[in-house]
Parts: sequence; structure tokens; C-alpha cells
Amino acid sequence: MVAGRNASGMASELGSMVVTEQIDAMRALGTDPTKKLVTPRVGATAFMLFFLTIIADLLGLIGGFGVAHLLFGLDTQQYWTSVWQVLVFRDVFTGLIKPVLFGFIIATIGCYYGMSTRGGTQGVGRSTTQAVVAASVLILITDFFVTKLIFAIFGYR
Amino acid sequence: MPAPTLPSENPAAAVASVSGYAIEFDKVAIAFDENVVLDGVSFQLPHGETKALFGVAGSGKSTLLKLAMGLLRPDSGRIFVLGEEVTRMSEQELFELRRRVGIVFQESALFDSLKVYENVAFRLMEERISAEEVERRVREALRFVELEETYDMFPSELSGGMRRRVAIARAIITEPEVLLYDSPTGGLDPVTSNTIVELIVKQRDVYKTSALMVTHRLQDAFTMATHQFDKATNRMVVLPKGQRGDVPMSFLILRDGKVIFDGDARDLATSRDEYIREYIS
Repeated sequence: MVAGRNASGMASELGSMVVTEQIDAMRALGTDPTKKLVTPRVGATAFMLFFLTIIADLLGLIGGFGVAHLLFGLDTQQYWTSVWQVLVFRDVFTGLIKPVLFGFIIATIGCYYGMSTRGGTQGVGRSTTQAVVAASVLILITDFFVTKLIFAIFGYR
Repeated sequence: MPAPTLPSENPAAAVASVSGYAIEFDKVAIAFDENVVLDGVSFQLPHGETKALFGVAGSGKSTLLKLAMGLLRPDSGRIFVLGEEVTRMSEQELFELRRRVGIVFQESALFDSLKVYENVAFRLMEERISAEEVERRVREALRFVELEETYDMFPSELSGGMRRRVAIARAIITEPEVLLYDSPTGGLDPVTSNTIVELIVKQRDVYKTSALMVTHRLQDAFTMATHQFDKATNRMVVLPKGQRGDVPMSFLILRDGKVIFDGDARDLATSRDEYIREYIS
């Protein structure tokens, strides 16, 4: 979802700046567009996706509590106690290391396709599509290998 | 229309580099895929001179400006700007050189997410100059192009002519030694075009800035060749008959990637080349 939203946003924004010569203007004004436009986006996405995941996990737990309590009549204390008991360090580590990697991938791919845009507004559309596809596929591949690596380090449960 | 003044009129700064040329192209060639755009282009731009570049659409005029700025790399040949060989410099070294060169892009290329004052102040803010100094210089530059009232506006709120003038303010705010104009009057009404031509003439005659100007409008270049800026009246005045063309102004015409004419207004007017005669008629 974030790959679709952010990679496309970055690719289209930077792509539009390329085709309207704003990137050339920035270089002409003595500023490195990579430092000015790419680095902050990559850093901010990796940083914020980490916290977004914490919020999403928390909302997931609250949602789970709603279903368990309202639909199945599970006791409040019983639900939160069992949640606390099954939660282990590896789950938290895995859940929070991946968003940082994914954030890095999403922003890097979005910025790369944006900055390599050629061919006017048609090129902006092409870059946006390519960014979403590449980011999504790369996230799936990375997810597979990172999960394998974490399992290799911490062992299977 | 009298042009407003910039307080720090310092022609000496504009001609700091006294040796060689402001810009020199030596057998420069560039092609995009199979399309040869420039093929062995050589010319020199002396310090303090303004050279108007002509050629049909797609003849490589804008490419030539981007090559001079180091935004593109030629396939072969050498380019010197203010004595530095642009073609051998790294991007990091080019950032330093570009601080001494200003450029006005064809479509202005203002940053659409920034306000007018942020656009004009961009280079100063990158150099971490104090906010008071930045505001003072931005207001001066905007006053120079008669657009001080647009200080807090976004580029999308401006007309094409106003955007072009803001782009000029952004290019001149650091008092560059060389200015590159890419069709500064293209698509503008005659009154706005004349204002911009007057600003360019003032840069040439008062600040002695060397300039390359891409244009399709022959009349603008001839106006520049037959007028000079009068500091006393703060406006552009026509030169007396007999002295017309006695200003640092030259013409260069590109055709099929090659230079077919490089000379002053008199040479151009008396040229016997059929293509040139047809072009200027």
C-alpha cells in the first residue's frame, strides 16, 4: 500500500520536475538535486515507516481485541494477557526491521524512476507505473530473503 | 519603460576573469541516439559581449546552453567557461563554477512548490546567508525586474512574462559573470518582450555581463545591437545613426549542427549567403 502511494508520488513529483527543467535549474543554481531531493525522501520514508508500523500494529491489536471481545465474548484481561504472553522479541524485531528496509526500497525506487524520467508528461506516467511495479516486486523479494535470514539467526519457533 | 536599478553596480566584478574568453567552444559535437545535434561547433564569446544564437527549431541552441553550463556532456570537443574547462570537470567542481554563471530557462523552470522570494533566494539560502541579507537582495532583484509585489506569490499565480522576469531575477541575484538566456522573450507580448530586452541590455552595458542568448526573434537581437543603456535616464536608448552596431553584440547562426555565421550586425546585414538572407528577411 505504501509502495503504491509513496513510490508513485515520488516518481511523479520528481519526474514532473525533470520534464519542466526544475532539476536542471537546481543543478544550474549550484545545488546537488540528489542531496536536496533524494536523500531527505529516503531518510524520511525509512524513519516514518518504522513508526507507521508501530501505529499499525497497535491498531491491529485493538482491532483484534474488538473482534475477540464483541464477537466471541472474550474477557478484556484474558485477551491482553495472552497477547503479552505470545509476543516475543523476534516478532517485534522482525516487524520493525522490515519497514526500515521497505521504506528505503520504496523511496529509492520512487526517486530513481522520477529522476530518470524522459519524454514529457507521457514519461512521467511511465515512470510512475514502473516505480510502483518495481517497488512492489522488490519488496516481495526482499521480504522473502529477510524472513529467511531472520529465521536463520533466531531459529524457527 | 525605464528599467529600475540594482544598487551594487560593480562592473569590475563582472570582468574579474580577464584572460581568454568568457565562453569558448572548440569543435564540440553531441548526438542523441542517431540524431547529430551539434557537429564540430567552435566559437568564442569575449568578456562583456552578448551573443545572440539563432537557428531553426531543433538546431541545438538550447543544447548548446546546457553544454556551456555543464548540464550535458559533449561526445567530443572542449568547452571553456571563465577559463575553466567544463568538459573535464566533475559535477562537484561544476557546482562551484555554476555559482559564477546564471541561466534563464526557456520555460522559466521556477520551483513550483516554492514562493517567488524562495525561488529568487534559492542560491543565497543554499549559501547560508543571513535572512535579512537574503530579503534585502531578493527585494532588490525583484525591483530590478519590476515585480516586487510578487514577493509572496507562487509561480502558478504569475503570467508567462512575469515568470520569465522572476527567472531573470533568480539568475542575476548573485551578480554572475556570465548569463545564459534560453528564449527569454519567446511567446511573450511585445511590451513584455521589450522590458526583458531592456533588462538584458542593461546587464550588458551597466554590469558588463557576458551573455549567450538563444532567440527566435531577430528583432530583439537587432534592438540590442542598435540600442544601449543610458544610466542617466535609466532606460534603453537608440544609438545615433552611424554608431549602430557599436555595442558588444554579436550573432551566431546554427544550421544542421554547424555554425554557418558568427559575426556582428553589420556582417549579418551584408551577408551574401542565401540561407542567411532568407533567415533575416
